[in-house]
Amino acid sequence: MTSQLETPPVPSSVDEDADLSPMQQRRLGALRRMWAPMHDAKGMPKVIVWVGIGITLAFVLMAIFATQIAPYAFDQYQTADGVRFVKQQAPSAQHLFGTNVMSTDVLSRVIFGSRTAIEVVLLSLFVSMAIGLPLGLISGYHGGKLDRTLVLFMDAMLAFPSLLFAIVIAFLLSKTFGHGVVTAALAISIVYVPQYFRVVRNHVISIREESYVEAARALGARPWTIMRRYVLQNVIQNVPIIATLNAADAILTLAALGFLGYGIQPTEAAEWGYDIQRAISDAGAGIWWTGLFPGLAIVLLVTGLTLVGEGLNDVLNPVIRKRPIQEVELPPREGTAPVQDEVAAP
Amino acid sequence: MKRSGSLRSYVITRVLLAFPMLLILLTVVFLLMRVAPGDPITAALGGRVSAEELARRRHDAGYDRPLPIQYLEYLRGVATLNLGTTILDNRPMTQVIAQNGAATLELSFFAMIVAMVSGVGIGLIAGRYRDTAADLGGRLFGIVLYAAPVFFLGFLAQLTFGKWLDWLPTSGQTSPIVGATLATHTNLLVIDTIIDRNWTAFQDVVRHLIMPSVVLGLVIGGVFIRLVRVNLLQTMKGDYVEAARARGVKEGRVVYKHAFKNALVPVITIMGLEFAVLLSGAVLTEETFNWPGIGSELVRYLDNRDYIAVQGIIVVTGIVVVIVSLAIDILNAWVDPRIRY
Amino acid sequence: MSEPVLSVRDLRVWYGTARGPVRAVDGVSFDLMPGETLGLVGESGCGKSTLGRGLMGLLPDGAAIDGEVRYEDRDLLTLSPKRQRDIRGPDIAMIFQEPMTRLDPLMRIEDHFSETLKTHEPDLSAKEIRKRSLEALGGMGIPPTRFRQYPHEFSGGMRQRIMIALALVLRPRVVIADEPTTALDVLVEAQILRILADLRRNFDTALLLITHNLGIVAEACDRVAVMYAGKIVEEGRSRDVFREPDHPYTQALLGSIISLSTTGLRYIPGAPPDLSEPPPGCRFHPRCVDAMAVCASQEPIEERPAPGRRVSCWLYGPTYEIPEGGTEPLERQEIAVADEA
Repeated sequence: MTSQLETPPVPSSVDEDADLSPMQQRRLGALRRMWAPMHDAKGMPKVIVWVGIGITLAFVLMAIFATQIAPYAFDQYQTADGVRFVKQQAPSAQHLFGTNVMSTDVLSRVIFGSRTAIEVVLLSLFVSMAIGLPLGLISGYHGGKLDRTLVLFMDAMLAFPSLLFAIVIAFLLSKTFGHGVVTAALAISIVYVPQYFRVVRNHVISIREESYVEAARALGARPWTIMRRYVLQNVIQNVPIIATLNAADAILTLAALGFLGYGIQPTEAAEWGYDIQRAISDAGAGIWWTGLFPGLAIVLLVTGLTLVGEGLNDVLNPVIRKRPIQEVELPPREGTAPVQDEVAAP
Repeated sequence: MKRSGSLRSYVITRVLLAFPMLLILLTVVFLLMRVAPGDPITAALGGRVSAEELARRRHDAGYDRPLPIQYLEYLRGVATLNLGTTILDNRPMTQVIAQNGAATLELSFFAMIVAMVSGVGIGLIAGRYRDTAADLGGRLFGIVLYAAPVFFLGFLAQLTFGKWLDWLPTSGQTSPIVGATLATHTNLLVIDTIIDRNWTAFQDVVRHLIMPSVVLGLVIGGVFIRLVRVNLLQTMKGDYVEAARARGVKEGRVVYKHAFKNALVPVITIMGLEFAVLLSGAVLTEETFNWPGIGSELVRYLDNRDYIAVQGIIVVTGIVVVIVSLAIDILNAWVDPRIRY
Repeated sequence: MSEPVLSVRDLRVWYGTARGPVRAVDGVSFDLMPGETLGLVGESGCGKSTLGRGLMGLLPDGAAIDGEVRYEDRDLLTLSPKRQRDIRGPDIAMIFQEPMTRLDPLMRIEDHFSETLKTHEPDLSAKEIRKRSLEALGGMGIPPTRFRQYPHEFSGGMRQRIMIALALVLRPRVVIADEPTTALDVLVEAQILRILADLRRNFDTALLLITHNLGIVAEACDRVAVMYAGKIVEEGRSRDVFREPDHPYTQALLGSIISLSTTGLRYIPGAPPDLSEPPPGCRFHPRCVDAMAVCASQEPIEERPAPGRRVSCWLYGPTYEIPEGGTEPLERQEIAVADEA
């Protein structure tokens, strides 16, 4: 993850911002500078980002308006009059995605599942960043023994398979917090803290050695000011990319926990991974709708998030960013070849 | 200007560095297992056996001693590979690791091969033909593979190739008859059947291996596609690539010998990092396909609150991870002469 | 009078960008005689590196090239890519700027040489290859004991010498050196320059030395061509040009050189023009102290004020082309700070 070096102020839009205070002008300029590559980017990378944003937004909306959109409740197994739904019924008019082995409506569970996924991911992102970012900042900036110990510790945690880690923690946390959204989110957060820590720390270290930081230190700026002004700003640019990619991974981990039975209990909320686990035995009988739809939901949401992260990376990462290339038409020669005579003398 | 350090000194340094990391992992596991209130024995058997039996087993397992002593005994046990016996079915941990660990090893090995072939292959094509249909197709394929949980792919595979097409078996390491009559030597069934020249069994084992390893391999390979592609894009812009072209070296050789080779160097590191992901994936694959590996055993013992077994499995996993990353680092140094100390 | 080994006419290299075509090289013509060293000097961004790459056929995608580059009665620009590749190395070789990154880090020096030699002379025996490589390296002061080492084991200066040896091992008739010493310290620079000077003596190789350093040109080059904004503004024997520069730009350049007798800094006001929208008429006119009215509207016609000298400046005529009042000093506004961007 390379840092986007600060570009000098672009004077083009100076007049428009004249009525803002200098501080506001600077902030606006900074924001514009950060996102300028997004506007410059043409073609594929831009399309990718917007497609990804579209997909993700669709799921977020589905999550927010789940109760309004879903035809039934996520654990509803009978109609309002008490007539039980048919078990494992193929897709039909009343159940667009069919029903599963618990006689619940697959479509509703998919919709409510998006709510669960978004809730867990948001919570875990927040917690891991709240812990990982400051730790990385401090560790990277101060260095020394604290840094070395933390790095060794985080590396050890990173080396270990994250799912196994999450399983153990989910298991332990379930004693206190039960089997709901909170446990799953906390388990996932703990797994991702080392990643945020490491990325931020490496970033801080590379920026720490930049000459403008050295200059600031020479001027007597306090460490916190330096961190906030220079380091944080550069690091923040990379956070959206890491966050979206981590969110994608978190959803997979959540589904994996659900699949193994350590995630969210079916009575608490609908969860896609859990549904797929129940559907595995259906595969032998040729029942495809119980597993296909939750699985597609996972694939779509994770793909959407990954496209956003990858697209942003393509656009913001200066190393492999491809400048748009135009074909050039050379006008014909004017035919003024100089007379070839004694130009040179040995 | 550095004199190229010998491979040997690099190996020695890396091995020494591995110990603190291992120690940290072991300590973390130890603490996690003891965070749960009560001790494993009580948690597993409390209420199911008499009080004296409980006390006796607690004493045997060492849970009535003070914590620091337990820690030292635990470390000693790890060092001597004495990880105890499972509470549930009284299997010595060494047996669990030998039998089930071998099954996971077989699965992981073949999955890694699938991952490398598919991931590196598609990644190189995508990078070489940047922004063409091949590139976009390859990248999309990679993203979708990553986004699909391995158990979902497994579900689809079982549905299509198992039920609808009926080409391949969907569960277990062998079919029941073969499993009963098979003689095991190394517990790696592919090798064992070859040793015995038992070709029906060999075929059966291979057929059972295909779906799980391909599914797991593709999922891992999906990540490689993205990484290999980005690396290739960077190396193709390299100064030495331009210099080679300036010497008139053929374009094909420039791309394959210089760009590809340099692009693949970090891939070895990535393989090492992906190994941990492989193990996670293996747990899920084993559950999906009823594969008797160490992952499914972990789940089984965890469900039954058999913490001794769980602790043992996690410790072994940790050790394996440290060893594998060590091996990958050494392999990396062997390939890239700049890395040696 | 011998024939030039390299003859360039009306060379244009334009890059396609979002803002419009950038005219990096806009009508350059010169001749290179066998065994002579021609210095191509100019500020950063004047197009000299593009010119070097254009001659070699190493332009990136999105660059269009036009004109004539005659080598041995062939026009290089009309050759097929394969033929162009065949010429790179044994006929025309290039030495690049930053030696640190120009060698493949995974390949030994020996492999670099065998690759180069085998590409162009596939029938050479291994012994022959080794002999010629060691010879070339020896000429650069690299001992045979280091033949099998890796690039990272050499310092910057040594790597540049290896690059030169690689360029010379095929005994090319023309060598294009693009800022070969810019990335090196002065002592190493002196060594490299001495080596390049020996080229002419020992191998009768013509050298096109691209640099922004006037000192190097004065020391190492027979003739010098001064480049500004994509065009050659002056050319002649270095001794003559340095003693009595014709073009105002050359005069200003020489005037800004710092020596022991310098008492104040003199620089050329303004900045090199934006090559996507160069100034009308003579491109130097906004910064020229002697600018006349005609300079702002018409491009100067090349003149030969003395045998062996060329200059593109209205100060040297041809007077019959200058319209009424064109010789009046140019009316100009203050160069605003914004224009410098």
